[in-house]
Amino acid sequence: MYNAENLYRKIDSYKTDLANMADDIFDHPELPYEEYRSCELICSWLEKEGFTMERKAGGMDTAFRAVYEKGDKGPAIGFVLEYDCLPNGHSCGHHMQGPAILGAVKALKNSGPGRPFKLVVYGTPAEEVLTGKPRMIQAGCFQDIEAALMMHAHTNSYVGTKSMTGVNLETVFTGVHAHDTARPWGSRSGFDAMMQAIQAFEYLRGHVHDGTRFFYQISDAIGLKGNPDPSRAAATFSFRTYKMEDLQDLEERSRNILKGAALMNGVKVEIEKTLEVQGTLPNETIKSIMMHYAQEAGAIRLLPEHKAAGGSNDFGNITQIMPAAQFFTAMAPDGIALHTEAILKEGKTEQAHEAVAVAAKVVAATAAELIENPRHLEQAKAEFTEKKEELNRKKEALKI
Amino acid sequence: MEEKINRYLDTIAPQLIEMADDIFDHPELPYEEVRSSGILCDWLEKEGFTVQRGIEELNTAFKAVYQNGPGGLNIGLLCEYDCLPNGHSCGHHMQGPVILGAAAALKNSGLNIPFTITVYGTPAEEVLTGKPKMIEKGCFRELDVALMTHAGEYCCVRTQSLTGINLKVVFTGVHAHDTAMPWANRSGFDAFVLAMQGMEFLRGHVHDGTRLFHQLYDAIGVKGNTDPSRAEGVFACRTFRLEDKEDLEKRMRNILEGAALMSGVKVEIEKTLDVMGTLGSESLGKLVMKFAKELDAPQINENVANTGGSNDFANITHLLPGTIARVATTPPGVATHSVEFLKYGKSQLSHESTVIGAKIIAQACAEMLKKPEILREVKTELSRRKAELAEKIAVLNGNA
Repeated sequence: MYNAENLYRKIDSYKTDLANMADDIFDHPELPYEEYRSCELICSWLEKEGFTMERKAGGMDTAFRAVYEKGDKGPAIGFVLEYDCLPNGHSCGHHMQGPAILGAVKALKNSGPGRPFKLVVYGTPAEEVLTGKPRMIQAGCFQDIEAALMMHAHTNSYVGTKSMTGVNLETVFTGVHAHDTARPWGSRSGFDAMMQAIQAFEYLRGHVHDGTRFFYQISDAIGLKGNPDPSRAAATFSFRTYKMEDLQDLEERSRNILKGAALMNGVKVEIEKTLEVQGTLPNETIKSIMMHYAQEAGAIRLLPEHKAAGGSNDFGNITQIMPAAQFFTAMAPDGIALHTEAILKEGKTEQAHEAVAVAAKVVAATAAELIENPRHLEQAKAEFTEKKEELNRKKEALKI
Repeated sequence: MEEKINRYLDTIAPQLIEMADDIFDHPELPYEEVRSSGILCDWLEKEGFTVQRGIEELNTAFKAVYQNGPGGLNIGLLCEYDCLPNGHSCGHHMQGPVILGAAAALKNSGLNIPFTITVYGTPAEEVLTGKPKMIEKGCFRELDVALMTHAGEYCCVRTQSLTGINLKVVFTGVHAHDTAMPWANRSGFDAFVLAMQGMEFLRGHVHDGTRLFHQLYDAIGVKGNTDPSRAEGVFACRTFRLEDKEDLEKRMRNILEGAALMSGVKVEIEKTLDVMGTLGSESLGKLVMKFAKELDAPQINENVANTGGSNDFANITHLLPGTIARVATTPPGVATHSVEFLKYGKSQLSHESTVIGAKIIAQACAEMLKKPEILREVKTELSRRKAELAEKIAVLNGNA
C-alpha cells in the first residue's frame, strides 16, 4: 500500500485554512442552484493552486470542473464535492466537502505519488434536490475520469455502500370543467383521478419488496379559483427502494397507475419525470483501500459496514457509471440526525474541523493508492463491470 | 267497440281465469317455464293456431300463428310466464290468459278483413334476456305491431323504462405467498375495489337518475389459502336516457380496464345484459287507453309516473311499434316483486282485469285492422322517435 505519511503531514500543515473555509461556507449557506458564493470561493482557491478551471460545467451556473495534470497518461482520478444547504442552513454538512477535497488535491499535487496522474475536481450543485449530478451526467460531465471519490459529513465514519434509487413523477390530471350543480354530467374530474391514483399507490405497497417507499404530494387541486372546479389536479408521486433492479419495474407500475386513474375518470394525464436518482453501486475494492487509510488517519467511530440510513444521494448516479466511493466522516456525536437543527450546532466544532482534515487524508491517500498501484484501479474497474452486469441480469430476470 | 269480441271473452272468461290461477299455483323460474308454456300452447293448438313449441334452444319459448285470409296486418301478441323466487309476484301468470283470450277473440271476431295473429311466448323476462335472445334468433321482425299486458297497481301505459347493461368482470392477477413473497403477487381483488371506487366517482359525473350498482361474486381465489389474485363480479348501469347507454358502457369499460392497468392484472369483460329502454308510442298508448276507458277498466291512471325498472319488451319497441296495456291487479301502492303482491294474484280484481285486459287488447287490434291510418301514424311516430334518438347519440359522440 502507498505510504501516505507525506500526504497526512501536508494536510495537517494547512488544516486551519481548511477549517476556516468550512466555517466561511457554513456561515454563508446557499440553497440548491444558488451556491454562487460557495462555488466561487472554492473555484478561486483551486485557480490559485494552479488548476485549469472550467466554470459553469455542464451549463450550470454553480457547477465547475478543475483539472491538474502531472506528467502524461496517468490515471484520471475524479473528486466530487457539494456545497448546497437546506432551508435551515448547512444541516447536511456540505460546507465541509469543498475544504476536504481541496485539502486532498493540494496534498496530492504537491506531495503525491511520483507516477503521472490527472486530478479532476467536479463541483456539483443542488445535491439536496438530487438533480445536480444527474443533470451534469446528462451534459456529458464525468466522462473524463476513471474513478470518483467524495466525502460526506456524518456522525459515524464509514464507506457508503448503499443508497436508495427512485423517481419522482410530476403528474397533472386535466379533466373538463362544467358547472358542478347544473351540469355535473359534463364535468370530468382530475381530482377524482388523483384520489384514485393515491389509493392505488396504497394498494401497491402490498405488492412490492420490503423497504420500498411510496410518497406523494398534492401541489394543486383548486382549478379555477373562486369556483368549485376539481377538473385539474397536480401532484408528485415518488418511490424509493434499495433494490436497484426494481427501478424500471416500479416506474412502469407507477405510470400504469397514473394512466389507469386517468382512463377510469375520463381525464388526460401528463407525466414528467422530474427526478431519477440511482442507488449506490458499491465498490469493495475502493472501499477496502479507503478503510485502510481511514484507520491510519484516525477516523473516529469507524464502522466496518454501512448501516442503511434510508436516504438517497445523487452520488449514487455516479457509482452507476464508474468505480466510486464516498467516505462518510464522523463530525458530530453519534445519534444526531442530519438535516436537523441539532446538527447545525455541530457545524463549526473542533470535531467538525478535525473531520475535514481526516476526510482530506482518506480521500488523498485512496487516490494516491489508485494512482501508484494501477492493478488496484484495474481491479476496481473490473468489479464495477461485474456488478453492473449482475444488476442487468437481475433486471432482465424481472421482465420474465 | 266490437261487441262480439266482448261477448266472446265474457263467455270464455272462466277458462281464462282458471288458467291464470293454475299458472299462479305452479310458478316456474326463468327458462324453466315448461308447464306454463305447455298449458298455453295446448290451448292455442286447440283453438286452431299453428304452434311452434320451443325456438331453437329456448325450450320454453313458442310461436303460435293464425292467419285470417291472405295478406293484411300481422298483429303480434306477446306474453310472459316466468316467476320470481317468491312466486308470481310480478303477475306474469295472467299474461298468457289475457293474450290467449285476445287472440281467440280476434280470431272469432268475424271481421271481414285479412290479418294474421302471431302469439309469441317469451320466457325469462325477470332476467331480461328472453326477448333479446329471441330477437337475435330473428323473432318478431314479421310483425306490424306488438302488444302485451302486465299486472300492477294501475290500468295504464308507461312510455319509459330503464336502459342499461350488465358487465360481468373477471380480474385475474398472479398468486404468490402473501407473507413470503407479496411483491410477486398481483391482486385482482385490489382491481375490483378500485373499480368499485371508480364507479362511485362516476356517479358525480352522470345525469340525474342514472343508476350504478355492482355485486361481488367471488374474491376467494384458491380456497383454504389467502389468495386475492382473482376477483369476479358484475357492474351494471341503468338510465331512462336512452342516448346515454353507449357512453356509459364506454366509461364503465374504461373504469374496469383502468383498474386492471393500475393493479397489473388482466381483465375479462363480458356483457351479459343489454336491455333497451322503452321507445314509447304515444299513439298506441292513446288507442289502448281509449278502450280501457270505454270498458271502464278498474283503477285507470292516465298520468302514471314511470317507475324505475327495466323490461325486455322495451327491446321490441326499438324494432317495431309496441306497447304494454297494463291492467290493475292490486290496490295502488302494492309493489311488484313483493310478498304482498302475491296476495292479489288470484283476487277478484286480478280475475276481472284478466278479462278486461283481453278485451282492451282485442278491441285495440280490431280498431287497427279497421282503420289502417292508425298504424300508419304509429309507424310514423316510431320513425320520428328513432331519428331523434339517433340525433341525440350523435351529439353525445360529437358526430352531429
